[in-house]
Amino acid sequence: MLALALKSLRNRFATGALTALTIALSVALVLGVQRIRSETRESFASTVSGTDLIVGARSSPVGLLLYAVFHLGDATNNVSWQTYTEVAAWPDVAWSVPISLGDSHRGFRVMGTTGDFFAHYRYGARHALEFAAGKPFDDVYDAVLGAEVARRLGYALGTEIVLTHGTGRIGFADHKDKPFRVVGILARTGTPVDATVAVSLAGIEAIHVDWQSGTRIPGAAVSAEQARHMDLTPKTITAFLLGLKSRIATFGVQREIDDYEAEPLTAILPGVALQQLWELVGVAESALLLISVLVVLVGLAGMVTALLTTLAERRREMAILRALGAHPRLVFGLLVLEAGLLTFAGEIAGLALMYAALAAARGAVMDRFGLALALSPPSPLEAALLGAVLVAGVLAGAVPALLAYRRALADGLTLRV
Amino acid sequence: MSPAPAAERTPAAPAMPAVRFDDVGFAWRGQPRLLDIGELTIARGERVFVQGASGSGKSTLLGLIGGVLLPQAGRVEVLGTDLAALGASRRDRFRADHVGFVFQQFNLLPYLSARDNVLLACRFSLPRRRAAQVAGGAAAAADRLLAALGLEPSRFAGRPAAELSVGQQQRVAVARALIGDPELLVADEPTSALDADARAAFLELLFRECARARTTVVFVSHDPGLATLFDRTVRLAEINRAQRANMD
Repeated sequence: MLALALKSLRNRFATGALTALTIALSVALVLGVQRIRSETRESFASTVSGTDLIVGARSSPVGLLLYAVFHLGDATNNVSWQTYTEVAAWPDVAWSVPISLGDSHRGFRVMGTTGDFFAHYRYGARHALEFAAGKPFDDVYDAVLGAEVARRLGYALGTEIVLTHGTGRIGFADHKDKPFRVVGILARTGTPVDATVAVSLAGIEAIHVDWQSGTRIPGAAVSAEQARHMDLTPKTITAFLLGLKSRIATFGVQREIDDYEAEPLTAILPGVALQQLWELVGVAESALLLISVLVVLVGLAGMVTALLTTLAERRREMAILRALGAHPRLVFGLLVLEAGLLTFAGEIAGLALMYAALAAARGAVMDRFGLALALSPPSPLEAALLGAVLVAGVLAGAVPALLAYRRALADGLTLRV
Repeated sequence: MSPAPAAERTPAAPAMPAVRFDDVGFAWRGQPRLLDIGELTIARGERVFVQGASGSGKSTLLGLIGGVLLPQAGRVEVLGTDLAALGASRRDRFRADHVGFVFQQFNLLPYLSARDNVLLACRFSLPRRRAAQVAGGAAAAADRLLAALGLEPSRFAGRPAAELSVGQQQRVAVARALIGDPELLVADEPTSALDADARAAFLELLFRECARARTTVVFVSHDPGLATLFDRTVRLAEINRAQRANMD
């Protein structure tokens, strides 16, 4: 029966191939969308990994995550340096990285931090930050660029940049008197780090020594060189990342921070907060999946049409088989089998197409979006999706098959061609 | 010398006539009665020519003999078996085992070779497969039949049916109807697409092969010119009371 179905299909190769191609394209599309969707979610969920707690002034968890990690919006309040040093010294704390935000460079956020940031910040599957060129900052006026900053602004090592007070794109308040020099460019990560200019906390202090409440103190200009010799220990920072010695201690430390007496603080688990944030933006991804499911339906409808158009031609085939003693069930089975074979062939071709496209695009996608598209075998979800498409294909084939079955019964042995 | 054990074929009493119609009435759904045949008996081994104009119910008659159609009234017996008494699947099997069909045209699956088309008949019938195997293997039996019908196997057996001429296709169809020695061959205007010379040659080959296996032949056509070649001629208009009534 399989041989018969295959030979019959080969006879109608062009129609069959087109039908399979339609299905292949829909399958490739739905799987591709699914892949990008899950990789995006994956990459998003692991924007920060290896960090046990993020601590900032008392605020909502998502708000803290947004400004501390995604550099969106501003902190409602700062954390005092004293609090930071005290918490960092707690016995459960393995490492800590302070973050100071508030300045920008041509639209990109500037983040004051310490060299520990490069040592402890992890993203994705515990990837450490890597330098595409140069090294971490060392001097007060050294800057390290994220990959996107360097690419968009065309900066290289040694470029001098001027930071802007505040986060506006056009600054009336440039820190022109204290330019920074690019000493390092990070490799792409697909996280907000790519769009960040990192400088030392001392650098942030230095450009603000002659400022107060957001404006320059008139007549109190301090030169870059003079600033070097001043005390550049910050008074406040925006937030800090904590790594604990044991993850078991996470909730205990979180509670202690939330109950911290000297200052109202909030500590969040990055994974949990990222999950909450994803749920906010997840509607778009559901819409995307819905669209690709519709594409598959269109593909299947195309297959039903193709099968129906060959039906007239195949009545003759069916009548011959009937005359030879074939039960109408066989006629039904042949058509359903054909639909199944076409869907299956379409799925195989679709998978091949998807992997080919993935292999071709993954380099560019990594460079452009920092999204690591793995050439992994189909996930259980994808396998289930393929199974569902196959079932849908067989069901779609059952419609013309049922018609053929009834006609085969009604036609008798006459071929009204 | 006994043939294949009788139990293997769906039952067919040898002493019974090949075909017997008894007060058979048939109408297509929603239409007036097309056939009303009081009595028609075709003996085993007989070659009967059924003549009737187009639309007179010839094909319907064949459908009734093949058990694809069931009469609304009366009884159709083929080889002594009341077809209506069998279930749908048994009827299909009965047809596969005992009846070979040759149609006007479009007999073959175009994408199968001539030999595979012939072997298709064995595919649906175990007894016919067995019978062909006794004759030296199904493929050999197919080739022998093709050769006997003037289609040299080395040239034609492997060719896709679509590449054969109409006359060649009809001979392949005869080979398929006869492989595994079914008791009854039913032909529905198989020569209508052939010219006069080819028609005579075709019938000669058909009869020779049918005589060899003592196959009963029921041959329907509108063309009275062929009647002389048969043992007996039945005019559908004469035996069909429905048609007589319509005409009156």
